[in-house]
Amino acid sequence: MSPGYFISRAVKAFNIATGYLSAFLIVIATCVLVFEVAVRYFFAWPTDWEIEFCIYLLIASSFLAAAHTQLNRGHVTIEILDEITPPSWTQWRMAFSDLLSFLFCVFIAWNCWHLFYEAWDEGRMSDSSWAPKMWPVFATMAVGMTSLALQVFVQFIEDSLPEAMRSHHPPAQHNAAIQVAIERIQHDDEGERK
Amino acid sequence: MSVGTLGLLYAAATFIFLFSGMPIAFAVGSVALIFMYFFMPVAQLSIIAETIFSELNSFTLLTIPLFIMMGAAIGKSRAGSDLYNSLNRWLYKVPGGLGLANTLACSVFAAMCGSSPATCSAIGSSGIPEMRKRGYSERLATGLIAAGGTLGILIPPSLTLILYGLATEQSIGKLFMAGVGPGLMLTALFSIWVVYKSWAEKNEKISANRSTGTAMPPEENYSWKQRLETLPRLAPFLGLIIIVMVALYGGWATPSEVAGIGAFGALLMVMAIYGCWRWSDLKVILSGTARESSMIMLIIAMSFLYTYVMSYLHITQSAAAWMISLELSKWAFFFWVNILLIVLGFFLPPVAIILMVTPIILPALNALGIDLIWFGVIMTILMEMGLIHPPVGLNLFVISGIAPDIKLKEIMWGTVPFLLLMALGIILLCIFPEIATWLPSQYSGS
Repeated sequence: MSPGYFISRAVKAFNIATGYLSAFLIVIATCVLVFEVAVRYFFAWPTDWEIEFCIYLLIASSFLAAAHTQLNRGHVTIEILDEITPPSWTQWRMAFSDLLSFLFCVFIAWNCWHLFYEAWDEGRMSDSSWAPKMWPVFATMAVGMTSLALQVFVQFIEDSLPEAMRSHHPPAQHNAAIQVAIERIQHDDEGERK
Repeated sequence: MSVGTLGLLYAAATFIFLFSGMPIAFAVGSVALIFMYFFMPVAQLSIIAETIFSELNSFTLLTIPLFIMMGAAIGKSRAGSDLYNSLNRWLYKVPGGLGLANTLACSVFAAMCGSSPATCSAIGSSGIPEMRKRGYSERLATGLIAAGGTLGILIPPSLTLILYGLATEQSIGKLFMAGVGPGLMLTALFSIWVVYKSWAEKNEKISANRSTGTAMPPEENYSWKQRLETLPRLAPFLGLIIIVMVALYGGWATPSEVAGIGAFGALLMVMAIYGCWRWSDLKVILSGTARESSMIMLIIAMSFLYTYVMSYLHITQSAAAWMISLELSKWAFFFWVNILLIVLGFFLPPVAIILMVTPIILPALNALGIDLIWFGVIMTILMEMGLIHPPVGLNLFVISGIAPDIKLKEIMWGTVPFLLLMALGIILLCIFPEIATWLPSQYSGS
């Protein structure tokens, strides 16, 4: 097994795991919000940490799932030029756009790590009454953007660059909303067949 | 460099990056970064992660992943087909009852989730095959579900209205209320059309069959027992809609809390009623939620960064001042903004259009005295149109996934009458703005 193949498999496995982790963070947020509403109405307890905690959970979830979304190229793109330009152009354009996306993600990831390091080093806390440490949420942003950058890089090396060299017609890609809707239908069909 | 030239450069760079094939989130983020590097102090670039964090650190944005989870959970269950089957059994005697059942099912399902593709797939996966079996034309069956699905972003909870509320600083509760009347109006318009069209198609088929001597498919017939037995499975979901509506409109909970309760309730219900507790079922819900939510949240984060740079460089302010200086009448301005939004709908998803365009047109809307709650509804209907007209048309691709044997061209033709009905809806809203504004005007909450 070549090191490149191993790295690619490891990146994909990590991104699938963080995708599920991020969904669990949303589930935890729903539980916390139900708890918050219940204790406020039934016991009139003060609720000073719940909303802020949920916001951080959902920011973490958004970044941690970014690479999982990219795994199936689920981030929405404008595809109109794919239909009207020759396949070879489209493949080179896709390779170039993957490279630009990678550079963008690296830049944001680097800044997120920098923010995390500062927050960790200074022991930065939120200015709310709950005042939690800020580094955990910044760490999830940094990890999410780094895994997204790695995922884009793997796709650039494995798919878009070799495809551009071969000038094949690119396969149609759909964004996450369409993928999810179609997967539901396919999953139901499989369930019925079983 | 003048602000005008800078603005044109910004627009050109956006155009090039968006059409480069980069994901929209990365494309608008890259344009913002490049302009920050060349035209803003270096310090701004070094705090970019902090800027992104502070844009997302919002109580209102919390609603988006939660409503997505609610829609994903209900969409995964058989609630959609149960809803459709139940309505069909109650409406089968009405002319065009099957089409009517599909339209109403889309409308009720839209009230359970804020997503158009989810509404399309949930109702269309049973509705389209059944309509085709019953002799509805491919165009009518697919066009109806594609258009019915768009009600997902108009009838509350609506992700589009949440984002509009965020961009214009309007009350999400009032916007949700404003979506109810127009949502019902479009449901009524779609219903009238589908009843008429199915009746016309049936008559054509009867006369064609008479000449060839072919028999029509047998009529459906349901007993009262068969009608009543569908209700218990639907009751919890209708209960969930009522709880969400009452909590929101009664001012008992904020939209974010309602979204949390809705998502929690929906997850419990699909596990308890539809037995979706196995990992194979849950992983579809979890993975779908994570992906859809991350896609939208990254577009939101980068669109905020994009508009922040525009505002810092005074491009937003200059564009707004230019619009006001044109001294267009209220309706002329409204007309051209409608055209702009329709054209943008050819290429961009609603989330990006709302966050990138609203800050530019907002000052002109205010200067011309246009009601922002009313305009939010109009904008959402225009975004709905973008979901079913080519080339982006999210719903068209979902329908293609449900019925792969129907050509995309047929589905597109099928949506044309519904696009015209939506345009008629906008005209009606201009003549009778109370359709949207009456309900929020009765609302005393914030």
